Amino acid sequence: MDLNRSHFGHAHFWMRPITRRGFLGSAALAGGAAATAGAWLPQLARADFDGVATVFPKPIPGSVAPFGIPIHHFPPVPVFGPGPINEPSEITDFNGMVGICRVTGAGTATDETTGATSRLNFQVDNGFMDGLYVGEDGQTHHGTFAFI
Amino acid sequence: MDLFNGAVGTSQVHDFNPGIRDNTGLFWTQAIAGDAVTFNLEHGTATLAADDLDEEDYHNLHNALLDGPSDPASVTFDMRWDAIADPMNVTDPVHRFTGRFRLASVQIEWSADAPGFHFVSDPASTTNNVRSVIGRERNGVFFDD
Repeated sequence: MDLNRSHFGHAHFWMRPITRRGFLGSAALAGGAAATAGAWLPQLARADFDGVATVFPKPIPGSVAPFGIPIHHFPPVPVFGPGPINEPSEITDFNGMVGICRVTGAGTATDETTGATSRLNFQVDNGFMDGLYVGEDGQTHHGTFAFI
Repeated sequence: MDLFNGAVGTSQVHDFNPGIRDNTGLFWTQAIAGDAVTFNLEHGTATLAADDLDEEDYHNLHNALLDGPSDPASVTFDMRWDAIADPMNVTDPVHRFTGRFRLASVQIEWSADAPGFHFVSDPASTTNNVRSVIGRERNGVFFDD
């Protein structure tokens, strides 16, 4: 394993422009989401609906500690009760739509130096949060966030 | 998004995520464009898609949880939730969240790039769903609304 030590203590990517090439998706789908959201989003928060949030959300307060390391996240598989699901959201002071998953599968990796290919297995716990949130600045915003 | 050179959970070789925010602990969460997500809770569907999303490759879970050394990476994915059960109302006063949720099945097709490395998953139809949920949630200051 060749870790790039220069990235230790690095800045993270959360709030800068999100992609190098932009997101997939269609205007029609985005419009549908906006129409759905309109039924429950207060007017105050809709001005920046399709934009990228610029204020950090806050994490959920509690959670689990894999390897004894406390993190602000519940795994998708419900083992902590009392409810039938663990909390899907990663952010607190939140009111909106959520999705979370745990899936597995396989695929093909390529070593771009040698061209050699190999089969790898994957686990993906991805999710999203889309709605109102109280940010680190104490103000209410609308934002869309991915859990990766 | 984790890759294993063996069964899932063993011999991990890549761990792609955006990192943990230093001052708050915000966990593997990054802002995305509003049109990256679509959802329709009544129909029981949602999608999340991103193209060339900037991440870091921590290579294994333990290193990722410590926010240790990483390599720059990117991921592209297209995923879809489809409900497999009726909506259920859930209120968890211990963790202070409430909402209306549906268990779902997810299919994903994705790829990742890191220095000298490229991965592409098998077609979405081959995804094994372990546990997935979509819903509408309130927590924190909105819990009692």
